[in-house]
Amino acid sequence: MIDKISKLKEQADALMKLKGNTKGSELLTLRKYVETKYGKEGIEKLEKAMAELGYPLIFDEIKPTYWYPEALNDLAMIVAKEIFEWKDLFEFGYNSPVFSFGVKVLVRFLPLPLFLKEFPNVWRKFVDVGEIEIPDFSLEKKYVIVWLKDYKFHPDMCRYFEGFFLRVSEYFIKSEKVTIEETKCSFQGDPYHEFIVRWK
Amino acid sequence: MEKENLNLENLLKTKEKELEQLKEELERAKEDLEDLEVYVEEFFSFLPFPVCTLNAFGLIINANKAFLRLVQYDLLEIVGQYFNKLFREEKEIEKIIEALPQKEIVENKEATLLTKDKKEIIVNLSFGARKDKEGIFIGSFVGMLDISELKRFQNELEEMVKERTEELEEKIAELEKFRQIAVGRELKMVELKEKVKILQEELKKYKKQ
Repeated sequence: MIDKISKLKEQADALMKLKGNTKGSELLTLRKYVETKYGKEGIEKLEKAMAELGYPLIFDEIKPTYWYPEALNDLAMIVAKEIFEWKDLFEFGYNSPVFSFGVKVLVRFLPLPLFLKEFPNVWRKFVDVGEIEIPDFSLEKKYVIVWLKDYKFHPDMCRYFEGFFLRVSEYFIKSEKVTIEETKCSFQGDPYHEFIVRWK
Repeated sequence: MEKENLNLENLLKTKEKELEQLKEELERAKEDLEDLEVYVEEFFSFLPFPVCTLNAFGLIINANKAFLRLVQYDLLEIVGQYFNKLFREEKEIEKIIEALPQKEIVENKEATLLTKDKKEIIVNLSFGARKDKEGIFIGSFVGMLDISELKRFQNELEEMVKERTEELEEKIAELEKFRQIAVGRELKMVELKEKVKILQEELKKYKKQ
């Protein structure tokens, strides 16, 4: 494990230089997910790995309404992916709304057009970096385009957002088959991340 | 000039004090919110009867431990499933959910829950609509009571009453038969007595002659 972690050191140092904050509730969502899947041992493993990287994270000290570096949140996810051998962050992204107090309690499950209007503000409640835009959607043609602008932390996060946006879409779209695809990516030279949600 | 500076300094001090107070208030509000979160989560988790929350079209968003125990799914499996699909009466429950924005509360709806391991449990469902401050329907709370034991007891009782009724009906039929026989014999006796009486009178007449 030490080898895996030391490989991450360079990435972690670069990541931690990026500015932007997220609510502690997001870090606690990762804690709940890891605890559910791997128990308290999993949390200890993750905290230990973070400390080894030089960016200690003690979940017990995290307060849900306080702001913490977004980079720390992303780094914790990337470290979890490494130590628990996740293929990518999609599954965690998809399941994180299940554990997020913010999503369960603070998000209003409005009809889709109303929610899409509110979505950029919902984003801002939890993250003070990056911007969400909905440039186009059609209930008739069954698609929504989501832009995530000015957010370039780590390429692993693209899969996280794919999963996260897919679950959130399922909460607002009445369909048994909802799909998502990242069609533009800041890490591929595009000006923003673009996700297209479609359903049947 | 000096006076102006002094005024500005005082104004600055007052504003700094106000800012400090606002920060303290914000801090307290954050702490209150955290306490509230802990309270809500603990209470939800403690509730000994199954409860879940649904979005506006009946998708499960959250469920407490008692709910998970009853349906035998874990949280990751159950969140995102359509609530009505957990029941034999799928269509009927879908209609109830669709009507919730108007009805607001639906109580005591009996249904058959299909658990993950295909067990059937009779439950009593209660739905309560959730609306935001603008009155827009945003989902519902559902409470579910396992009444399978009660139902079993009720069925046993009904069976027992049925058996007793049948026994009583049999007894009544027997009694009726006996009554008919007894009454028949009595009538025959009366008839015979009448005949004896007539014969006795006739015998008396012959003796006189």
